[in-house]
Amino acid sequence: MAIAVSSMDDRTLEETLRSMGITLTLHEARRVAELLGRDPTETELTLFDTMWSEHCSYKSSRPALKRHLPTEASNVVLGPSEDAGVIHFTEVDGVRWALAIAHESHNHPSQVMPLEGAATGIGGVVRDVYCMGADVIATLDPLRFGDPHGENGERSREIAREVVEGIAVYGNALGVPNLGGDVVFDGCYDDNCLVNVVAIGLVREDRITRSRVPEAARTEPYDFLLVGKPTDWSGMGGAAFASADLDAEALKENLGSVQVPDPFLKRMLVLANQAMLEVAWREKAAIGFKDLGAGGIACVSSELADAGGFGIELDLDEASLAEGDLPAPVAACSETQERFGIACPARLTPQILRIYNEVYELGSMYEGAGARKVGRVVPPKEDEEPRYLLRRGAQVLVDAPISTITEGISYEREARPAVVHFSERALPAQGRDFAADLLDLLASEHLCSRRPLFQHYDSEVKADTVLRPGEADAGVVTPVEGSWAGMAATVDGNHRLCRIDPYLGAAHAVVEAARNVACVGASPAAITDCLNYGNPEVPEVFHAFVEGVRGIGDACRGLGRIEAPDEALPVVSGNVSFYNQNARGKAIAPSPIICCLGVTPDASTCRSLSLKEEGNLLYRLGAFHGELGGSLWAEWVDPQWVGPLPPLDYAAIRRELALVVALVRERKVQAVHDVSEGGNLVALAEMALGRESRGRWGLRVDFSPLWKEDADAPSAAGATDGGTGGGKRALSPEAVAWGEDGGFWLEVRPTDAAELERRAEEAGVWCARLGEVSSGRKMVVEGLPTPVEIDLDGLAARRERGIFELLRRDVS
Amino acid sequence: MSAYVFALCHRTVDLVAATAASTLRDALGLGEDLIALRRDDLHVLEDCRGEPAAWAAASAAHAAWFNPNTHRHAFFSAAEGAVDAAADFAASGRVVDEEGIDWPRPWLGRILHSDRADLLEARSAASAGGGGAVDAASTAGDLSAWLALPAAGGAFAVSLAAFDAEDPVYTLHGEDWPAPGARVLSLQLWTLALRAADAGQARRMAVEVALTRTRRRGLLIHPQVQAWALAAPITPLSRESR
Amino acid sequence: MSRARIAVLQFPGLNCERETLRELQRSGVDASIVRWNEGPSRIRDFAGFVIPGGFSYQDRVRAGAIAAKSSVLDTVVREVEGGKPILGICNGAQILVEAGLVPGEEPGRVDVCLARNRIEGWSGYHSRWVFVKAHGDGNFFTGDLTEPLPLVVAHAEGRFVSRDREAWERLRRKGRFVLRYCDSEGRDPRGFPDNPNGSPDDVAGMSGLDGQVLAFMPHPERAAHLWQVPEDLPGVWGERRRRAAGDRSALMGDGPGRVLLRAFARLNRGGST
Repeated sequence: MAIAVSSMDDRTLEETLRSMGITLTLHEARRVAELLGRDPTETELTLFDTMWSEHCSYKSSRPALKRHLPTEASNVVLGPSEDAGVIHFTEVDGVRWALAIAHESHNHPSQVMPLEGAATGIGGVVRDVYCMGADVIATLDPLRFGDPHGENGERSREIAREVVEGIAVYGNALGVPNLGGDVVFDGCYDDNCLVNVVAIGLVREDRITRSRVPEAARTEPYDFLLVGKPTDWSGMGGAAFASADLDAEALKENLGSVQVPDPFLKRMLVLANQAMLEVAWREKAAIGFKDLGAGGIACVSSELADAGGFGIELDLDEASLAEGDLPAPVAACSETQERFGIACPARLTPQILRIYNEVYELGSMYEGAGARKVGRVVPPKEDEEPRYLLRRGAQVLVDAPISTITEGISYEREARPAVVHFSERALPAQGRDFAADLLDLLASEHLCSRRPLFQHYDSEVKADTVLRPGEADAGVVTPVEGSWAGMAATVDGNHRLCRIDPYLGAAHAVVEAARNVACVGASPAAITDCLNYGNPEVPEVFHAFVEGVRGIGDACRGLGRIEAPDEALPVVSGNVSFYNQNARGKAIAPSPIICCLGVTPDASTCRSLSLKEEGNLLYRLGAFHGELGGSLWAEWVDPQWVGPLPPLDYAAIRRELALVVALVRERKVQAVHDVSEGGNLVALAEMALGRESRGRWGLRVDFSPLWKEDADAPSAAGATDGGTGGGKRALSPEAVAWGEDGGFWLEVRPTDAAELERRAEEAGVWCARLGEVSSGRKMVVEGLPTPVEIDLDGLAARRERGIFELLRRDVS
Repeated sequence: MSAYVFALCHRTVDLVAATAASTLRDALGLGEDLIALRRDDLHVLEDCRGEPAAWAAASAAHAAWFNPNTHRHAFFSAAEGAVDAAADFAASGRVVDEEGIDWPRPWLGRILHSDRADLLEARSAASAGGGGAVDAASTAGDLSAWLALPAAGGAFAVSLAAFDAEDPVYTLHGEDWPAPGARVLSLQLWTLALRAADAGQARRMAVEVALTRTRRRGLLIHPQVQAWALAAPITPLSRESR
Repeated sequence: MSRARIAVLQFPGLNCERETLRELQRSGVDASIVRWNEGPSRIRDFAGFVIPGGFSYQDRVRAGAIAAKSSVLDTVVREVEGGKPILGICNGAQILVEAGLVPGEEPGRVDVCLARNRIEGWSGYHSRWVFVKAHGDGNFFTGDLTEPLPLVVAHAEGRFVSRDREAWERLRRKGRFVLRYCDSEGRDPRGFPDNPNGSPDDVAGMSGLDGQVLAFMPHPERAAHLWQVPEDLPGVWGERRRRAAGDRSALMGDGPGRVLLRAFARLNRGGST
């Protein structure tokens, strides 16, 4: 039945739309009628509501993304056009292997129902990768929670606990290793946690499946099959929900928008999908394969067909519905989990149905699950636009030119910079004790051990894991049988930096992620970005978003690729999440989160970050500037203080990355760790403690060459700027201890020291020997105004207790 | 101080119960004698200070217990003593004999709140004159209304409660609850609708297939880790009843 | 003599079958994956069985409970009672315990349960590297084990328990506790984390029937090569791992879990060793 949007007055239309749970603006609703040339049905309004949501249409973000992000490079197999981006990985025995990667957010659902929200976050992002024909080999989960000690502390801790549980429940059962992630606590996330998820898959380059009806459908009949769970109410309105403000009322109402995860069924579907892809490959049949997400059946079928230039006809009576009386808009658009759409040659339909329904007996695991033929592809006719026709028996639910549905809309948003004033006063650093601050920071929620979290996840299923979360700066797997080629992955994003400077802060996230993969000898190969911001209709928020995108783009071009210096580090996939704000409408700190994929030809050379052997030497590598703005320590000392961020000298960073990658691959270093949150002191403490805080060795270093003007400057060759090692200027001991301008600490055998120094000099990378690994469980740092002599066992105990106390989950 | 039971069942098909039922029928020999199998999660709350409505709301808002996408709930009044009785059961460590042991007191009472409107209407009609007292009749009535077992002649419903034998009782803390210190026993209620000659036979059949003793005997309850009890009067199912 | 064929049983929801197959094959075992619904005659072809880790039937009712009562297990149980060896890893162990093959004092009787982990302050799934040591003798898989082996556990229900103290004592006296958690030097654990789940008597693996059955919580297929062992482990295996860094052939060498998988290679086609 048509809704008379074109003849209703504003108030009636508003009421009608809201009573139907539709979030389209009045203008948008009337635009639907214009496009169709008649009043839309309820199902059509629901469909456009989804397709035009921020989540699906990128209506606010697209111009900035297009303008600033480099998406092409010679290693890119498929850029950000489909559910996942694909890059070349390695070649083994003549077979080219690729990595498919997707990066999504599931923020609002996780705030409302943390366990289900996080679990379906994983469930959704892995589908994006599976539908490229890939097998998912790793997931990562960047998480942002509210202040555990703040006003909503208890709720924030509960959300954190439940989110972690949701990730475990889904990922562990699915049998995909968790390879990394990070956890950040900040008051800006009190009412709006961020749950981002990354999935990475392995696929043969000649077997990548596309999310579109293939060309072959012009010459032979193609069916449209729906496989997986029967369609139900769950997740109804998910996309619109992701694109709306979260207030208390919305929380209650939107409980129903959170989908229901089923990793068990997904696992069975994955096996059946692999058998299906095998059949298609054997029969030399091209197929179209796409997962169902927001917008459900209507969205997947229209996008599959339109991407190939086809029309399509479907009958919902042929689909498996959990309840017979499901209203048409729900049946057409619900975001029920664990479903895929397949466009396959009609001759293969019986074989494919048999795989799902008989070989893997999906129906015996879940009532109504399985594969059904629900429609057919309609080849385009001359001078007639391909049509989208969705029926339920005799009733026509959607009938429109297909491009109308998929075209989307776009908005020009206003951008206005928010003014940030640097503090006039200096940081109140006087009288602080370096050792005490280090102990406190490592025991705090910011830097305490994440072990209880990653031990709640399975990081070793598939038995390909070389480096687990926490063992090094990036996780590493060797997923190709018979090959040492290693895939390294890490996630990064620093809201403290972005709060002060959304441009430079976002760029820092790219650089830090690249540094992390370099630490395991992997060269940065591509990044994905998940852009978490507030309401884009607020000009300051939108400006921060655009600046973030610009910063990411500049960093990608600035860093380039080690193997192809003229190319930018490509952005191959990503996601935009707007409307992240607190209950009073204040936006979260800009939170762009970067996942960096790295590739190493020989993962046998990857090392953990922990100290290996007494008597080895410790080197500080990479120039630094000594700015404390946005650093963890500055916030710890004085949350109100605002200062400039460390600048980024891309040319210098490029040289550092290339050198570190080469040294690791040549086995010249025994341990590497990059300097990030907490600066040099924290980096060294982490190397002494190791993943489980049970390192065997201590260390003794001297920081005075880093900041004392009268000290002998270590090799200054090649440094190009005003940082340490170049034309020296006085740095403060605080900046040297706690500054977050990057760089690396390397543990090197005495026999490799000369080689290291020579290589650094040749490469023009600042590098200084500052100490050594010592016996005994003591960390001694000389050359700071207050003595640092720390008992590592005591430090270990405090660091291990931290998050455990926050997130303890008692039996029953 | 009051006692309540927060009961949950699946909104759509309960996959665990469905799989268990087909295993009981096919592998453990119940065949057609098993008419239906239901699994409910029950949280028995005691020492609750404050309004029943507040406790009902807090329970329904507790994400670890209740997901409105997948479950329905009902909030019953209950008799004090069930939680202590459970602790006694668990502490005794006994593996219950073939005769079973009835739950010592009528512990499940009137439905106070539910997201099922039909139950509330039925309750308000039934209790037009009555108070909130817990009695056997209202227990059986409300429980069977909640369970909504299929109509079947010559059949009986047997409910078995299973709970952790090691740490059965825990205490609720935190600002999400109307008052601190309420004690909780979380349990699973398995309800079998069985074709049987009489109530005694129905009970024996239920216990036989519930208690895991060999690969061929028992599935639902593992006596090495769970304590259990017959949790409600055995209800004859008539063709007329639901 | 031709090699015996070993079946890796794949129940719905298991998720470690591929790497278990891979590492059995690399141990010189002729192994194949067999789906739960391929029928009894297929099962009888094999001389031994492995049930790998994962979440069979989504842990419905209890971990391992549904698979243990499935019809394919009828055939498997008959074959194992006839003397063929079977190794249950993680969820596989849970299935063997639910099927009464472990301890199997009386065929089919379910005497123990793999109960929820009990860790101070943390419930549910827990994954970590632990050490185990062989005790007793006569088990097909652990016969020639002497040194403490680092292996990874990853489970939520790994605590072997019985409420019948006398029965438990009998199992202990009979040497059923063939693999027990220990510290890196092989000493008895002092509770968590050496014992990662609170298992009484630190039982990590329990023997069944006449010793041809093993229910084992850690994952040997995740420690079959030296490279799979973390660098930061204490003890000799950690030392070996650090020394081998960058040396591909040393890293490809045997890891601590290999010995358990290789036991099958001793079988000949007739099923005897």
